[in-house]
Amino acid sequence: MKTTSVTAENLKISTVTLLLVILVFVSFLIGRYPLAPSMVLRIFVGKALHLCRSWTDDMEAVLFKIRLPRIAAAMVVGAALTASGAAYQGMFRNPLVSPDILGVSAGAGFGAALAILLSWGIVGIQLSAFGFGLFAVMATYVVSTKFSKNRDTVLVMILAGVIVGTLFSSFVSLIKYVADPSNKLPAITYWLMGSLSSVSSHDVFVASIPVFLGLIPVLLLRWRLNVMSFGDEEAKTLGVNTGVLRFGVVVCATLMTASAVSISGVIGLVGLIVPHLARLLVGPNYKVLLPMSVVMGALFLLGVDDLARTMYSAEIPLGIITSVVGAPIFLYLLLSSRGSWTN
Amino acid sequence: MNLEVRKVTCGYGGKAVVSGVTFTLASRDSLCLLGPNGVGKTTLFKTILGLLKPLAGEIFLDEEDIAGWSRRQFAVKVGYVPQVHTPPFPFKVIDVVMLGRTAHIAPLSSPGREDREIAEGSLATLGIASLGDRNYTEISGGERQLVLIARALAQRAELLIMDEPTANLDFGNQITVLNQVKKLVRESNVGVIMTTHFPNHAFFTGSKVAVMGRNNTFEIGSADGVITEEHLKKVYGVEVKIVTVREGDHGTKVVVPAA
Repeated sequence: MKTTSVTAENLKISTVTLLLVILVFVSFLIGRYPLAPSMVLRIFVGKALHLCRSWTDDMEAVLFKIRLPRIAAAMVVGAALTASGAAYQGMFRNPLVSPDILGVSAGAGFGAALAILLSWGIVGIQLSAFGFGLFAVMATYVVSTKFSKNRDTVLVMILAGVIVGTLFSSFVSLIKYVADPSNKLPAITYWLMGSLSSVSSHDVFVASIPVFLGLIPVLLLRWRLNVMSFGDEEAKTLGVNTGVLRFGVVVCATLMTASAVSISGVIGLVGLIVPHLARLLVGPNYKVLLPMSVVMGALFLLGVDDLARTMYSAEIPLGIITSVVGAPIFLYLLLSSRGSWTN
Repeated sequence: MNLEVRKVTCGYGGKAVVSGVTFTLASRDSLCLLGPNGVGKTTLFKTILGLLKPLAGEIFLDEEDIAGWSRRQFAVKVGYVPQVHTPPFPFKVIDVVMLGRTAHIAPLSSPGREDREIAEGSLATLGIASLGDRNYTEISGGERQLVLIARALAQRAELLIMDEPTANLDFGNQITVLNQVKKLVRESNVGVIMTTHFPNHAFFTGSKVAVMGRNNTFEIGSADGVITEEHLKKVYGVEVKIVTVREGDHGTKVVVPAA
């Protein structure tokens, strides 16, 4: 009787995964250069089986050089932001935090902007984003634990995150101010708005390594995230070394956020909203919630990126769409469960 | 299980709140800790749970000094039952109970079917098996307290430390919880230390009683020996009477305010 609920949740994860597979295929069809579904299938099958070519070089280039990296990037970034959002929420026992609210995205954004200004390569951008992202989340955490006497950390942490985020955003403005307006400034500005349009397969590859490095430990530790949701003292008496665990998970989550930010810029609200949507579907148990968050994050951002590519002839930056889509969902979540959140 | 607290002084940041506490507790024993707010009941609890280091003295559990124990070692021996609370997310009751299995599974794994069966068994022990699939945030306070006790049972802890298990519960739930605690001590191989604000609860559970007073006093003994009119006046500063309510040949002591 009890095992049915677990399989029901597995069924939901499988369903969302199937939707993701379908959306990936659909995403290969979307774009300025028309490619029929049958042609896309033919190219894939042909490539896989090394059949003789019945398509043009252009088609192959569009598929593998333009659309594939972009689809992969959307999925990696979406999964990374959502998984890290879910991890932060459990680790800080705070349903209202996410990479952007904690100031991590702004910190990582500053690190990346600094690296762009100094013309470091993608690895440099990653490292710089990670370093400043970690610094930002530590600052938010320290400030919020120092200033909230005991129970009211939920709101204080958000306020601390806002302050840290604002500080780093102003540093980013400073960088834009001193950046060379002919080449550096447009690059930084466009990247900051959150866009995947210029992403290369090399960038995606380099960024996905730290994402996996962060994701795998968090997935393995996901049961312990449940324990942490009950607070430090209880977690300790349940046998968890909370200090080490929190530090480890925060480092992993920040690593994921920083790599996501370094290829896509700051994409708001994904890390806050998608974990809650996943929670609505499978409940708060991280054992199923975390895998679900990964799949839904990939699905969500891929869908949003497809919208960004198709809504207008000129592309809309991703961060704008996620915020426009995300804000009402956030308000809805806030309204529907305000009682349980402020306790 | 055999707990030995030897001349323990505890407190925060080098400042002693409780000093020179000595007592022992074995399985099938329970100890009710009474005392006004702020005398350091929680501080003493945290020290026994290993959350605070004792400023002086030693605590032995089954002849082993707990000073160097890891959190995991603690968790398989000592279970903490906190006051009823609301976690930030609406976990299912069965998942809350399964948290008790954390110390028994490898750090990088999740509880499996066997752990689930143990958790279901713990719920059944407390007569709340039907709550398993409900949301922890949506059941009553008394039920939640029982779920937290079930979690400590799933933990297979031999010593349960309960922080005011009857606080914030309505009258019926207080009695339900106390009955379960009494039954647990009688039928399972556990020892229980609990705090309460009601001397009557100590009479009811028939446990050993320790009364902590303002000036670092710590008196321990049988309920009849420690809960006296004079002692309660000294500790709480109010006049009370202890009367025995007879029903057939069975008598229960109760503390009532003096007229």
